[in-house]
Amino acid sequence: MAEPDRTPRTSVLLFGLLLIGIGGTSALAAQTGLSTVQSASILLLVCGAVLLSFLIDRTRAAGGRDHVD
Amino acid sequence: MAIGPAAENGAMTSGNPAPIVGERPPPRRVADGRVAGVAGGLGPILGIQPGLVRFGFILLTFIGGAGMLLYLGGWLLLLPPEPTTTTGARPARRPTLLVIIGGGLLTLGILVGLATLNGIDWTTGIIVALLFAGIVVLNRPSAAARSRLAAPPAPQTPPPPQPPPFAGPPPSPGPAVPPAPAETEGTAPTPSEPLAATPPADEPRSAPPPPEPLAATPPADEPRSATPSPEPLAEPLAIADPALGAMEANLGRPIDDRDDQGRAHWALTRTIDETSLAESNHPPAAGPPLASLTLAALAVVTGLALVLNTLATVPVGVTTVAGIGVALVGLAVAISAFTGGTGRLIPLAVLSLLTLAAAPILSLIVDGGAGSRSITVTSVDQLQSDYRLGVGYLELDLGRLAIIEDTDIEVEVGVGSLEITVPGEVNVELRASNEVGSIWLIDREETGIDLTFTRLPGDADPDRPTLRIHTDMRIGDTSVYQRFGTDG
Repeated sequence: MAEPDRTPRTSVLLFGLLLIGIGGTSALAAQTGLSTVQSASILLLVCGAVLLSFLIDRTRAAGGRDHVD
Repeated sequence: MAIGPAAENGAMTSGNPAPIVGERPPPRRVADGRVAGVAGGLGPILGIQPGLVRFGFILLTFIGGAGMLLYLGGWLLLLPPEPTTTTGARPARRPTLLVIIGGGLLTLGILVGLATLNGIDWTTGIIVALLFAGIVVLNRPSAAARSRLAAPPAPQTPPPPQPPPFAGPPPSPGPAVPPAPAETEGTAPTPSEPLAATPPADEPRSAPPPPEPLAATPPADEPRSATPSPEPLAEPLAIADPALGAMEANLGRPIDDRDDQGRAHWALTRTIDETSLAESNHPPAAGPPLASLTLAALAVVTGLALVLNTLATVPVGVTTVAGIGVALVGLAVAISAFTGGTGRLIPLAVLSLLTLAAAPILSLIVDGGAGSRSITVTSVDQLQSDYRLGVGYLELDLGRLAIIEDTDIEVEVGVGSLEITVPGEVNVELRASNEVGSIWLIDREETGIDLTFTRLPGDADPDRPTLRIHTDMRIGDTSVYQRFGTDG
């Protein structure tokens, strides 16, 4: 059986991220009473921090492998 | 293309379900569609280009929003796309459906228990029931799975029929079939063609009606003639071959001649191919069951929010739950970009977005209920600071209300009609907002979308108290009248 293609579909990924943004912003605004812009900003900050952490970890891992190799 | 299904020829001898040879293929979504393959599946059915169907969906989405609902309906009604490969058996039915049904029943049970104890609004229970009903519908088994579950267990499927060898003598004499006249529509072998041509074993099972020469090698005890018989097609097919038996069982009658045998072979091949297709209705799972996991997560979030609301520890609004739902679906969609399986998530995404868009109205329904209400307030003691109604008609009669100080009232209606009568002996300050509909404030009317209408008392008497009314209508009509005197 052929190995499935693991290449992410960019359009699907963007659609998913858009949904996360819409839903997260709405939920945050509704629950905290913040405005939509404030909620979106907080969400972007959190997502950016998570992404940055992920990229840092990945870079460190890649660096470690290069060092071992 | 009628190939003589067995159903027309009599009962099946083997108890197999009637083959679907020659029937129109069931409507399916397509696997390579733009979104979920609904337009691609409906196009051939309607006899138009899928692009036109897609355009219709988009158009209807922007004109009233029916396109999304129709697309969702199409997704529910059409069968899943045909698998591109039939390797591997269809994975077993997901137990998640049972988990969701059980979870839904459990949640409803908890809800009923809490309602008995704390007296929560029954509207909440109805919404939850509808939510889980939707989940169950979304997780319904496909038509093929239903037919497979409903059908009695089929006997062991015969091995893929090799093209009938028809060579060699029969081990036992079969029924004597009178020879049929030879048909020579280009299928009659020429004398140079071999008489007993056994196709290779790896020939595809779904090959079209075999044009290969069919059979008729003389029995071994007969001397093989040096020259081929000029009428091999008229050879009686008294062959008790297992494949021939299966073909006769599939056809429901004895096989008469060579062409009949060819058609029967093709029919049996098609039947077995359809059976294989039904068994492998869904392609092999390409990744985790994201749709089921998302549904389970949505159910958990909804139930958690209800429990928190009921216990009044942390008030969680409908908009919050809907937003979390959209975010969860979005997370699943993002994951599906890596693992596949986006198609089943698209309807969930549409549903969750629609729920989020309707969250304010849903919130009002949860808080304010639905129906027709007529409230008459004649004294300050009866007056509330806010009135809410989810869906329906709300009539608030304040015409006989005597206030002695400035008073503020909030009135909120989701969908429907609001009618307020204010007293004429006070200063009245009105601020009305309608997302869609019309506003009539005493002597002025506005109609349109996203309306905000303020009417200040033009000749306010400083000696009189002011009644400030703020109305908020999502979809519908707001009317405010002023009553002078006591007779209305």
